[in-house]
Amino acid sequence: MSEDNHVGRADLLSPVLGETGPPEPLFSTRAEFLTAFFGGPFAILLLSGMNANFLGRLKPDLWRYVLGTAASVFVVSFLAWLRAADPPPAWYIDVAGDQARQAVRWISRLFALVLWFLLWLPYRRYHKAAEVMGLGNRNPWKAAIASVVFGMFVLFLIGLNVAFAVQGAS
Amino acid sequence: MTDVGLLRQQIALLIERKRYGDAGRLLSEAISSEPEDPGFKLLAARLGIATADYRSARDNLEAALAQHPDNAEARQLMFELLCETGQFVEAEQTIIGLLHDYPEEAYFYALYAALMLKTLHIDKAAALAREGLRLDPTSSLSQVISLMVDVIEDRSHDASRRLEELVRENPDALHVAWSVVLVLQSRHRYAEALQVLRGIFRSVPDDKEAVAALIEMRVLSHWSMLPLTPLQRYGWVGSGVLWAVAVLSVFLADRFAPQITSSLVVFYLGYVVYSWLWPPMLKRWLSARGF
Repeated sequence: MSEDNHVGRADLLSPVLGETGPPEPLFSTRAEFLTAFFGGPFAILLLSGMNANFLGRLKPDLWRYVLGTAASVFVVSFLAWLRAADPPPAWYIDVAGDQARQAVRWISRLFALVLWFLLWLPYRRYHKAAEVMGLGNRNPWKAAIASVVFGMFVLFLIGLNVAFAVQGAS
Repeated sequence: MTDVGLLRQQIALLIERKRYGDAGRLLSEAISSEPEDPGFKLLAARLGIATADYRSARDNLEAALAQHPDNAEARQLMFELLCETGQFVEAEQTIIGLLHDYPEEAYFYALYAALMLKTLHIDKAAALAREGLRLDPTSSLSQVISLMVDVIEDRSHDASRRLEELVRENPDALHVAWSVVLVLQSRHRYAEALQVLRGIFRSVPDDKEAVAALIEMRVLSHWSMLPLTPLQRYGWVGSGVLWAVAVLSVFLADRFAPQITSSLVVFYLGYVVYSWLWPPMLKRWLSARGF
């Protein structure tokens, strides 16, 4: 159900539902938040992408997801390097102190939540419209669990890759 | 007015007052004596839509439209029926057809706007409601749709201004009272929204939607929900910020004041458990106890 932000009077009587079909219910904000919290950035990219698809906005908003994926690969790789480096860089030890290992997990989760917020914000109006109109949400369990498993698997792969690279370099 | 006209009016009034049993009885008698009367067929369709007897509504509408294909009321009812049964593509075609034939009818623009909002085409809904208001500035359905769009887009001042106009023009209308609840809730003024909902509940005590909304609002406005105000106001964004603040606090405490770290963790976890468990428990308790 993609739409431009401005609808002129000339477009008022042009049908829009014929092109996109009837609306699909969305995964709720709660489902997205918890998926980001437990599954990380790649999990929320997947679940949010499904919601964009239900809204018919995946094509026009694909750049957000490409950008989000690139940023996630970069941040996750950097964090994996921080964790794998032995010893960790001095500046990092200065900042994180004894919490150096745990802080990587916190930053990773914080990044996933910020990414969720940035992906969710443009669609907030659709979530709110669905709430105001009492449209209900899609059952999120299967998709959320699949997204979390996928997200963890990608995190694991990147972590493994970076660890091998660090080992090879030393 | 003829006897038939009076009878139609009486049935329409019964449907409007939700006395569907009485309306059905009168309609059966009327249709058996005047089987070809299109007015009774339309009333039967209206009753079918109101009572979710969609098959009967469709049969009656198809019969009425076979007799008079251009009948605007029959086409409008067909639109309403298609919306109720989730056939949104066909509903859109029907309302566009009506608007081509009646381009100055503000109510049809408002109906189309409602369909657009229901299918999450927010910008088009807003444009259609604006057109409805341009043609008839007093159109209450157009005003309600515009108000909903204002609430969706977080334009609370516009919503309040529109609400004032609505209340001034239709002080006793139920849809206006629901609009008041919507605006108050969007501004997080739950206690006032609860008062309005009590008024709605008194006028339609059998309305399940009113009962559910009343319980929901009673929970939101309960004193024990006060600690959860940040979460109520900012939703999941608030939860995320709270988590980040908690993690940062624990991190800083661990470095500079380790003796308070465990207290901070217990406090945060207690708050999270409270926010997860207490609202549903309160809702259950208020539902069982009465509100």
